[in-house]
Amino acid sequence: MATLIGFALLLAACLVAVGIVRIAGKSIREYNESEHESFLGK
Amino acid sequence: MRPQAIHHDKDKRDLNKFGYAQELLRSMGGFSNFAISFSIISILTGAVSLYGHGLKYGGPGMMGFGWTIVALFVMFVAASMSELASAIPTAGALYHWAAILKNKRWGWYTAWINLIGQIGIVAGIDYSVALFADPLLASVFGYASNDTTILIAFTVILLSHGVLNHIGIRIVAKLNDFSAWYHIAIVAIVVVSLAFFTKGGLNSVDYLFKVGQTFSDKPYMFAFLIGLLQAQWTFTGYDASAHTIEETINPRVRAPWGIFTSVVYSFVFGFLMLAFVTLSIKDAAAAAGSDNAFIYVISQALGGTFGSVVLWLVTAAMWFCGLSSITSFSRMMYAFSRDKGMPFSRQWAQISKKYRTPAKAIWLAVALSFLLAFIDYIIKLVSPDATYTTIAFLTAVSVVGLYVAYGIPVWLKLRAKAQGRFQAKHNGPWHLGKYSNAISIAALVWIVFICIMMIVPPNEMAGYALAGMLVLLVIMDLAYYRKHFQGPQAALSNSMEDILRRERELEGDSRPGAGFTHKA
Repeated sequence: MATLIGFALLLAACLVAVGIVRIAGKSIREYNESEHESFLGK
Repeated sequence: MRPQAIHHDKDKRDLNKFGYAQELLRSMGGFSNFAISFSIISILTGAVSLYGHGLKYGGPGMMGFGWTIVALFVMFVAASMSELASAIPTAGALYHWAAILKNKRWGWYTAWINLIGQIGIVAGIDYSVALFADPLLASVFGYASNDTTILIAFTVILLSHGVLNHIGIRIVAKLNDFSAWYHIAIVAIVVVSLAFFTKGGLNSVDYLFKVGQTFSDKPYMFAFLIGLLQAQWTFTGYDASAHTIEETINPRVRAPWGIFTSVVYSFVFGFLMLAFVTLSIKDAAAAAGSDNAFIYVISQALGGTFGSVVLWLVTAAMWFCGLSSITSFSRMMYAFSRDKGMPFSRQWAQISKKYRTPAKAIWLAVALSFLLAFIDYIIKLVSPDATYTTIAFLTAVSVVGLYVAYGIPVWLKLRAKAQGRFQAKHNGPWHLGKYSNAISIAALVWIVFICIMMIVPPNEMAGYALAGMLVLLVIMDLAYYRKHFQGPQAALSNSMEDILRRERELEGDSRPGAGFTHKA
């Protein structure tokens, strides 16, 4: 049982990694520089 | 115009918007930026040098469950930091983010907490190299390894890192690139060696996820949580990709990827290595009770000679890790001194015109790291019955210092978003869109939890040291910096004319034989 849970946890970690890579990759592709404004805290 | 030149010009303009001149040499590509964080995370340093700690407290299940749980949550932390690096691409990174997301005093505290963590990480890494190198050298030259010889080895290793970092970012970047491949190659050698040549064969895969076994006097669940230090310390230092952001081409995309992918690849390769090492354990109790569990397990599995070769290779990987960590630490201090946040800031903000590196900050990083380990050496000399280990002390200090510094800007960004000050238009190209807040909250929950776990007994000495340093910070703040620290906001008043003149000065004088210069 512990082994099964272990592999499920491994799978979950891998899916999170792939998910974040996909989300970030999409945001980079769709990034529009003209809409960006530097955050200067002013 | 070549694409690289176009990027370089744009990167410089992005930096100029924050009021800073391009002082450091911008020559790092995406792989170099990834490599520096991957080298500092260094699965062959953290996971190996604290292997005994993890095994003693969490048993074999620590390697299967502990490593994966920590990696999962660290990915959330890394992703949140990546967003910030993309939005605010300056070498000050954590403290700069905190300062402009809230105010200069938040930035000042973040910087110092980060600095304390950096001292701990550099000292911890190079002490790990010494812990491995000294017994190996002792067996070659026939002397007895002890605390004093380890301290001498530690000093020599630190000095070698100081010299190479002083000489220049190009050679360090090349060594970092090599280090990344080297780490992967050594993990492959360890895995293949253990898979095919372990005496008596490997344990069944169930052994990797075996829970309930601890070799400490603590209840298992509590012991397991203490054992997480092994994985948690391994996953530190990936802010290096942000600290070298002013040396990276196209940093708003490459630095965030450097932060995030260094964590992901470390998770994967680290898991493979730990899995095979753990599956080759012959006697877990004896390994947990030995001076160095990793050396013990490898020697038992592969025999003396082959085991020694592997250990030399692992020690070299640790040396690369230390090299990268000084690069990151010195850049952080350079940026903080540039904003006059430290005593004698003008000194540490100086750039060597010959090498375009923050030479004095590099040697300050070396000196402070030596001091931390030396103080611990003296404490051990005075009270030899101390129950904590030096490596656990140094690593716990670095984990708490670094993760608190990682957490502060993530929390401040959430607040700034809630107040409507940080908006979608402020995101850099690398962002998590609608998932950003949830991931940041998960990261913060983990940071709070792990910081508590790192200072409970037997690591209470790290808690006392951190509390002492925090008291010192409050005194420094109230006595001087509250009124005098201008923060990175002050740089915004630098005129573009001054910034460009400064860049021309450095470009004109960047030739062999030139001396040091002051940042105005």
